[in-house]
Amino acid sequence: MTAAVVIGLEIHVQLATRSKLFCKCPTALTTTPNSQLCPICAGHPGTLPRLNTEAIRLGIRAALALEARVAPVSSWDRKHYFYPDLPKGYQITQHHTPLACGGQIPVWSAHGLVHVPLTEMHLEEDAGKSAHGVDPEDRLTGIDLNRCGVPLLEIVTAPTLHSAKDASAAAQNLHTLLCALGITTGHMQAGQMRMDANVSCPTGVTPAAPRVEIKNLNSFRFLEAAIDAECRRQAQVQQAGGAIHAETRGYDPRQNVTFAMRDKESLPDYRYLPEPDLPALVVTPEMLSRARDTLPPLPHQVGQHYQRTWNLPFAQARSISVAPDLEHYLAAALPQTNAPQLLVNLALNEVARLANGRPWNRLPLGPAHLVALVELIHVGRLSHTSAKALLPCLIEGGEEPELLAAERGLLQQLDAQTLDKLVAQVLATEAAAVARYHLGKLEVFGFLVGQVMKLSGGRAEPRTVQAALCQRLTRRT
Amino acid sequence: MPSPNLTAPLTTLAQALHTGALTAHELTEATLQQIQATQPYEAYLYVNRAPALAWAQQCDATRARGAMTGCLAGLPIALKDNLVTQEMPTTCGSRLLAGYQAPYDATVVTRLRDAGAVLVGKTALDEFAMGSTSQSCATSAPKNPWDAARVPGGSSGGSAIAVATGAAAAALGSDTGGSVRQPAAFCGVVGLKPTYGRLSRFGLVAFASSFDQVGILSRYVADVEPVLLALAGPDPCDTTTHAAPVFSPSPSFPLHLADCRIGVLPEAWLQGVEPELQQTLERTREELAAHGATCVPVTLPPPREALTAYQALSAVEAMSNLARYDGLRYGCAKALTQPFDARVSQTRAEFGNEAKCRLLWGSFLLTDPAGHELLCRARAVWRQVHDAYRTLLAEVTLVLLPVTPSVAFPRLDTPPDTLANADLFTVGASLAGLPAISVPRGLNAQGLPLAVQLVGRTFDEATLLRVAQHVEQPCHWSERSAAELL
Amino acid sequence: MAHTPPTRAALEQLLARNRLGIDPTELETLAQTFNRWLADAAALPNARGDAPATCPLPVADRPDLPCQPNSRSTYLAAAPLTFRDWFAVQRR
Repeated sequence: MTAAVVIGLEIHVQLATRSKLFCKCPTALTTTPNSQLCPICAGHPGTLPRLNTEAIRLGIRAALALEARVAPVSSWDRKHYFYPDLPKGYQITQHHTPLACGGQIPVWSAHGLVHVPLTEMHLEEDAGKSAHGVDPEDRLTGIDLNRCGVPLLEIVTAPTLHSAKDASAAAQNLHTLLCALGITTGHMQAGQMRMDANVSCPTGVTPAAPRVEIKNLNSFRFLEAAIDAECRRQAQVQQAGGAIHAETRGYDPRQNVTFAMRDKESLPDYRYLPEPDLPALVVTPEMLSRARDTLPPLPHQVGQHYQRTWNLPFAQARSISVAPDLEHYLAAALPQTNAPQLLVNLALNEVARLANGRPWNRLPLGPAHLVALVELIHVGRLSHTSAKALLPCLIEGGEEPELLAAERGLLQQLDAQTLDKLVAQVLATEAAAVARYHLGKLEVFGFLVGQVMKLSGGRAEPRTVQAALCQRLTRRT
Repeated sequence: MPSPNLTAPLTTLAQALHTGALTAHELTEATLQQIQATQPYEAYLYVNRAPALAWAQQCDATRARGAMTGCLAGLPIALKDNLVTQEMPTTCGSRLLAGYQAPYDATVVTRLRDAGAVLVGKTALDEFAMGSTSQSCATSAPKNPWDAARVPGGSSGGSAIAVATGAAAAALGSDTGGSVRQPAAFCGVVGLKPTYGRLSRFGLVAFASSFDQVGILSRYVADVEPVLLALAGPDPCDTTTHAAPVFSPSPSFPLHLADCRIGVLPEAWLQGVEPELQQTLERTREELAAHGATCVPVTLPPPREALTAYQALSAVEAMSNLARYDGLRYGCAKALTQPFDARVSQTRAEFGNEAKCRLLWGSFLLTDPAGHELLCRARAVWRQVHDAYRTLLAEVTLVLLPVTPSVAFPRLDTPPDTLANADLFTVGASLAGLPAISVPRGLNAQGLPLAVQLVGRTFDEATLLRVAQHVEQPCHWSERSAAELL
Repeated sequence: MAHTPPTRAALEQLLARNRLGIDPTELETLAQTFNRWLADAAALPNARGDAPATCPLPVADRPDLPCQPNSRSTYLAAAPLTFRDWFAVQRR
């Protein structure tokens, strides 16, 4: 019997602003510690925060994309605790009135679209980084304050996830969405999106199970593994007759277990205080409508559109939905083609591979030419293999596919009529074989195809031949 | 060249500099000598000797060339040591910031420089501006220049002493619950706390952010205006500054006192105020009435409640603002080889008792559920006092009230009640965010300064200063014989 | 709600939470002032229902203060602070 598990996520996303939230220090990733600091983010005496409005703009954009209700007035609070990577001794966050409430993460999969409800999202400043064990005896912790003051959007889901996989899917879809909208650059290894998971396993015995918080997971894989590890631990504890306590834990990927982080006796006391140095944050209807106007279609909306319109499988629709330049390219190409699936296959596989990361709008092989190439294959004038052979040249050169194919002598001159004549010829010549076919020896079909191919001098496309042959043969019956 | 009269009005000194009757170098040199001579009062924590003289010389050179100089050019101004300066150390009167060199200048400091002022030094204060005596300064025990056995008031005691004794033409202080007005009253000088948001707090080391304001101390009311003009104006680095039109009525604009309605408080409200202070309050009222002002009886919420609320609200913000002093990034650190928590605790053990008490009280109010409930009460009183003043000032132009219940009290063995009530009448304007000024009213029988307070409408420092000018009775410290110096 | 003075232990815990190391002799003096402030505060009238529960006087209520996000004009132009590469803190 699998125990039920209730999961809620708190996801911290670094916003893609140039400057920090309360000063003009750069947010760019750097490897030199303590090189991007000023008196404000280093918490020097007498300094005051000054709001970076780009962060507000991105926060509003995210809120609208996630269908949350943006508060017309929100405010800032100080959250106090002592730690070397927190220069002021407090973090400026939005505790009492967050930027936005409600909303949902669209989770789009091969099974369709589901929504994970959100509780709220708010802005706050990031703290610095602590590197434990910078000395051989592992007694020192190195402090790098570069990250102090970087703007974060904290997004809180309702505790409505019920499996580690669901949690991971929710986080991944959120990541996709926010990257697509330019709200974050989302580099997971750089810690630009960090997740905390609140896990509780209610049982028949303890229906109101305490929440265990697993902090600072910076990959989807770790998120999933950590939740599973924690569920295992809770099950073990309960089986042994022990009780689960509300606490904060970390995840050790090497041992694949969660470990206790804080002494459960000393719960943090943040002594929240409204921030007196910053006025209330007012979001006007004009700001909202401007933000809405600049909101592009969301990835899942784009993907679903491609699924429906061009009948593409989920995986392909998803690839397209997260690559705006590819999508733009295909939006130009697909309406012009008679073989959309073929075009998409070619684009996502061979062309993508040869493009090697170059943006689609810069490829010399433009949409029109790809359409033309696909058309040649579609009517049987160019074999698939030949098309692939042409691609490396087309990618760089920008020539017309038909001309290039002709140059290389790859064009199959066979039009439908000529092919039909050849097929008829073969059928006439191989009457005995045809008779055997009609008596049920279906393997003769392959022989007949080969004969047509031989007669065409290799210029026929096997599939086209098969189709033509099939047509003729069925007509006869 | 006779030595300049250092206790002359700032405007007089400015005029002398302008005409060339006095050079900036002479004035600065004389001021530095006076700083030296009045050292026994321990007003200054740091004297900026060489740079001040160099700046003064530059000033003279600019003037000699006929080029434009700033409106405060060549005038020696003192700075309370909680205003950060790159050129001089900033200690906030605390062991925790011993030797701290700020990496930037406070906005008001920059603006003083831009106006050409000569920054002569940093003055003593209660540690981190918390106190009403200046005695909690870590390295100094400032003394009232009228009676060295008494306090100069606080927390801007050093600035008040400097101005009173002519050891500066004017000074900047900071006022959170009365820290400019009360020492001004005790030292017989003018002390203005502008409207909250009038002057930038960027670079003013925060004590209670919702109430802190940079204040101006001078010997005469007329001296406040040029300094205020040089400093006022919104600052992008301080989002709580106001984008209101810059305060600038022309000096010739006549204010008809006959148009003024002055709110006066009932005797019951003034319970506990020393008789001489009550008398001077009454005389002030009479003088204003004689000038044609209408005096209107008004009332405000009980001052005791306002004081209690202020103590709670300021303690909470102090706890927050002082959380950054852990010795890791700047300032004096202890126990460098101890683990982090122990190191921080031992460093912060260096706070004085006054500071620790407030931090403790603030923490209790935010942590404990019982404390939190008390904080709610304090916030309710805050709202009440704020609204009461605003409502009142729609009916009257100004409110007249005492600055303090008593004149300057003894430094040693101060009765606890006297100490506790020092800010009784000053916190109201702080809670309401309104401009308020302490105006000297001569000396009492013991030779100690008397004063009254005027509280004005929001951003209406102009009217406040005009009316104050009508009732000021400057105390002339320079008239005291040199033998009475310590 | 009762407003009895906190115990010595409670005060010590508060001090520890604020990382305020203290001399035992100083605690007596601190406790006296603390208790006086506590008594004063307990004498304040109970907060009415309409009193701001969590926020102090909103800055928006102060006259005409800018209440909207500021434009992204020049910030503090101080030179970036530099420390030695990592400044290390003893952990244990």
